[in-house]
Amino acid sequence: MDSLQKIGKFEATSIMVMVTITQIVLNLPSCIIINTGSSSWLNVLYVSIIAILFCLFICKLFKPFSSSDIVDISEFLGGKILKAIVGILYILFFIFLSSIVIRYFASSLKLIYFENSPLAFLLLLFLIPVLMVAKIGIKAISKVNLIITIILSFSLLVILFATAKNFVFEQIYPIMGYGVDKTFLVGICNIFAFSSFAYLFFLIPILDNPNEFKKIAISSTIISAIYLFLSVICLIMVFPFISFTDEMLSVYLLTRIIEFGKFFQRVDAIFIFVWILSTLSFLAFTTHLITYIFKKITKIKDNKEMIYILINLIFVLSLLYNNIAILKFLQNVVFKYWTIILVFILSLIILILANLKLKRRHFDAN
Amino acid sequence: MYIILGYLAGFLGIAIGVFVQLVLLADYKSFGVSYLAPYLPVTNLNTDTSYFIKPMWRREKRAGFLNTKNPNSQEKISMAWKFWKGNK
Repeated sequence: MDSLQKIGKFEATSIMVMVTITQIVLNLPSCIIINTGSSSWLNVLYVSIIAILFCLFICKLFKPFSSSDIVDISEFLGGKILKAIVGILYILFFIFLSSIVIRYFASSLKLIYFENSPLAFLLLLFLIPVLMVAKIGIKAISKVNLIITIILSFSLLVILFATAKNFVFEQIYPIMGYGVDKTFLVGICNIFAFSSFAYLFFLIPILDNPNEFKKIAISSTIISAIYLFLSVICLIMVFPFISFTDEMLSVYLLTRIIEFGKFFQRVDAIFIFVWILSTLSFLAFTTHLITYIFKKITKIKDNKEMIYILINLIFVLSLLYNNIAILKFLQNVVFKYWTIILVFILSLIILILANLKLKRRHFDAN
Repeated sequence: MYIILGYLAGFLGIAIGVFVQLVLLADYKSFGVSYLAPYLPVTNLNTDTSYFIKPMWRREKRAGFLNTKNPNSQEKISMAWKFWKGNK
């Protein structure tokens, strides 16, 4: 991000919430339900509590390093080598995430609306606007993201409550789903649903007031957890088959059963429109974040031309996946464990060690 | 433009047009004030420059997006004469 462009607390919170809701739309609840069955709602509650505690711990670890992000802290801890390693890992993570999101959504749109259009055309239609808005800057993107997130959040609530008449309460039984171990022991891996923490680690330098970081982190985590819980419980109670079939867009299935009398037909079209906006906003912010990290680790003065290379890379990578099965494997397995290892383990270790190093430095100075 | 985008890519094209236009509008400034103020950026939720405005005697704060020297336009109790009893 440019040194002059900072964002407010509402914009920052909306970015974090938008990342989670975009993943909810792109089948995140289904990934959780397949692993844990009918106890997914219990698992989400459990994972949300762990995520909130993790968030509180992260805020405490970030406190001594005001206006530093995870890359700066890595440099403090391990010099330029660790900074480069962490920076490259996060760049690859965000590129991988962007390519999966865009390919998954484009493939879903191709199935729903654009049967005869080539996939590359749809991918380009997502990437070209991202290229256009990347030149404008993070401030404008984050402002628009605030509007889109409010509309997206409201639309998701409408979906969840409009399908309430189709709820079958008995479908949450058995309460423990596939067993206590799958729900609580193995199920802790579902913390990957909070992959928005990867964005949290880079938020402090771009905030207007870095002292509001804790408030932003906790409020966005709680809002994301509420939406995740509502979407999971809604899916379990509406569709009996959801825990053993692999749907493309399970939230889209919910929109297809919404009825507002006989006058309104195909209400799902409105929701697709909002989801397209949110995907564009997500891609715009993520690409800006990647160029920011790249600028940080290479110390180049002007990184605006990097966006062309990045868009090309994301486009090529998203075309690389042969079919939906490979995409689902990458989403459910590779992305899951990459998030856990990079965001929840490696970054936490770096923060803890950096804090210990800082304390030791203060102790030696005294 | 929206007609062309709709022809090219249907709903997706229109959504792209809406998104790009919103980002351009968010970036514009008019005499130093953001084009989408007071809605974006969100600075003061109690602004008196939106659809729902308070009566004249309750408008104590100036709009935040104007970045004025003095944020207060009048005292908290502007109609102090109403509460005087007898001589001042």
